[in-house]
Amino acid sequence: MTTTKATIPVPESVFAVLSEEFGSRLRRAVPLMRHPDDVMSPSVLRGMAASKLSFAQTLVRRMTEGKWRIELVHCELSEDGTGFLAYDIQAEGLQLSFGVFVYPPLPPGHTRMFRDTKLEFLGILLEGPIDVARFRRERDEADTNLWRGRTDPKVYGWTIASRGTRMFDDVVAALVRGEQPTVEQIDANGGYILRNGGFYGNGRMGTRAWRSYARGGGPLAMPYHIDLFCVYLWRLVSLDLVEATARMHSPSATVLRPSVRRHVGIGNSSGLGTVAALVRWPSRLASFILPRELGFAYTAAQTADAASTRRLADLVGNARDAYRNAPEAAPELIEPRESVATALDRVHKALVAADPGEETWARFLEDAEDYGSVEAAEVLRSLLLEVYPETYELSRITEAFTPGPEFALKVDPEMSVGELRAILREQFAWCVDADLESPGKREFFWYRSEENGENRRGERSVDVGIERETVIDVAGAVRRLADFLDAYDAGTSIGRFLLDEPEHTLAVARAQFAATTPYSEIRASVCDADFLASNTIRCFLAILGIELPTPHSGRWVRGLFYRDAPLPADLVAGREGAWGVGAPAAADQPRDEPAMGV
Amino acid sequence: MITIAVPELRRYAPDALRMVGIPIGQADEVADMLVWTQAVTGAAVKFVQDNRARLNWRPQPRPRVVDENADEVVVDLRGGSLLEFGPRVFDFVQAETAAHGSRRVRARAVYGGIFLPYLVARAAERGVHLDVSFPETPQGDFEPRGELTIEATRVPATPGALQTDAYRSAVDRGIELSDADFTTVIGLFEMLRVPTSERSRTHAG
Repeated sequence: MTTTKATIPVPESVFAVLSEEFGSRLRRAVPLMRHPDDVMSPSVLRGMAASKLSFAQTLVRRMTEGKWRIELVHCELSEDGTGFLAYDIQAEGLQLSFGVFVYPPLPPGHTRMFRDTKLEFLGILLEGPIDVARFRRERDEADTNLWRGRTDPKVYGWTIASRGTRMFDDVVAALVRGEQPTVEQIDANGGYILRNGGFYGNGRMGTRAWRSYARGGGPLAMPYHIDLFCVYLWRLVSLDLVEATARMHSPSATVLRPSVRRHVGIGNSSGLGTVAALVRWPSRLASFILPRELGFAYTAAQTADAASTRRLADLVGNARDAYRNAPEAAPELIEPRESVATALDRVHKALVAADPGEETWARFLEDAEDYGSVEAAEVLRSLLLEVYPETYELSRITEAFTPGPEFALKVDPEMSVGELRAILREQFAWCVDADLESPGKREFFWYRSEENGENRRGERSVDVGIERETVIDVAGAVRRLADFLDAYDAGTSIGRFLLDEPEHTLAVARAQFAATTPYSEIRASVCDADFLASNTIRCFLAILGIELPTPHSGRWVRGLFYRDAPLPADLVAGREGAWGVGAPAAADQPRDEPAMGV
Repeated sequence: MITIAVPELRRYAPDALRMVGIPIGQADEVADMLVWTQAVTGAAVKFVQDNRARLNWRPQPRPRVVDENADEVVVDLRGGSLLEFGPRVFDFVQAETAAHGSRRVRARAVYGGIFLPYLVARAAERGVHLDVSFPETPQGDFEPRGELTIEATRVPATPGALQTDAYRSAVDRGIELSDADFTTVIGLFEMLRVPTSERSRTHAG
């Protein structure tokens, strides 16, 4: 059900970064934007789907359009499986290098945790050409001090990965035997050979600050592109390493078929830290969600003609099949895959039977919300973006505003208490009017553990550390702000109010920001006993570009990056190809054409 | 000396500031001021270390308007610092200036003049020109309980006033910190972490 409220305010500066023609067409679609109360609710966040505006997808598009060149130059392996690989990278005039140290494998079945101090793979992304001595120096620093290590701005970041499953050994064994793993075998084992363990850059350990290279609009200027570029590199490492390891065991070992190489993704597991990040930075959240919602509004305003209807039907049909083959999770954590697939099937049938004409997509989308699956409706909206590739331009909003002052939180001290009260009524009714007093309503507090700063939740009535809670309890803070504002005259300036009550500064800044920029606040109390972190984690993973994320528990969500995404030879050829839930299943695709090879 | 990146210090700063008594609701804006000041004029981290005990003095002071008339407003910071209350005082000045066109504000019983360059540049970005005077000791330090006089005038905003060459250079190259300052930052940052237990691990994610 969609909330009917006033037109959503869109900052005027948003249109300034878009082309004039697209911007003017987009303006006309603004009245079709969904209200933040609808978009930012847990049920919609849980069903949010990756789209061509997600970061992994925008990175692949950029790499393909810019014909990035990524070449394995060094590969030295020892009998015990340890070794070193180095890649040379040419990205639109920027030269980078990626050095990888392979450590002894962790015991089979060991799932590397965030708090673990043992490494299986360490990668270093360096400015300039391959510098083996420098890579070794970085490795030594990591070996000695790990996350307390120090480096300098020549280094973009350190990144880690792990095996996680037996897939690595199984693929090596198959290649030694001269056999190929099949797409089905890869899928049955998670779809990956290596798991991403995270990227540590943007100043961490003294690495280069992201703003220093984002400022000029270079190839890695988009938020998260550098992180996801390293994830992409791990995918290449996994493919190159299994082949090199097989060759070491047997000179006659075969290599992976191009179709298999392309199908392999990179595993990823995300936890509470992603929730903390989304709640902590409302301006970033808005800069991620606003372009999506603008895109959805734009597509809803387009005419559903015959060609676009056929195209969307193909995409939806493929997505339905992808859902039918996707890993399942506990029903309390996700909509059952079959329910989503059934709803997508209804959408597909409706599209096939549609009589294209003068109607816009708005009506069709409204009908689709009644097909019994929130997630299916979200998938449909995401796929519709692919029918109108001009919407890809919307990613400029994220690139332009994430580092800039336009989307920064700051207090407007000239506003009156009365005006702020009105904002709270309009934007924060979900917490100001909510029951935050009953047992369980403020059960949790969030903190960082001594163990590598891992984000954890504690129970207020039981656990120590309440005075050191980290994540802003938005619902609690805004409610308290409303309570305190009650004691002031409506005409009092916020500057005067905050001189008296400075602890409310952040709550005021968030509220004022929400009034001018939609989609900055999740409509859920993270401290509530019923708060299901996996809903918000899935939202974050969709923003990053993971398709079909699968909760392992209420606090962990697994997924794959880059399944079926182009390989370096495709990038150089400027050919992205079809990938994602809207693409035909890999097993059905005619692959292994030479151009897809590496 | 250790080079610390601007975003790295910004990441550490809110948690570190929490451990010297800055509330969670102010930690972000104070972190912005701390990082800019360290990057542009230096000595901000040293200020925190030197005044650590004083910043943690309980009960904490709270600013109050103690006198106001057509000519000026007097704010008593009761021994508090501009680290704790600078942005709040200067936002109050901005609100007063918006209402009156120009305004004199005297802030008494305050210390921490090293944060004035940031606060003045910040006000310029928001369309407020400030003339500030703050007494200095013969040693060149600011008075430990001085009186700050602010003459504020409404002017066109100066976008990017905080993006000085020195700050941009710090973003590109990092900030040089003494070993002692670096230890202070990391030590305070890690103090906010909660000891682990098997029970806490069951709440990990």
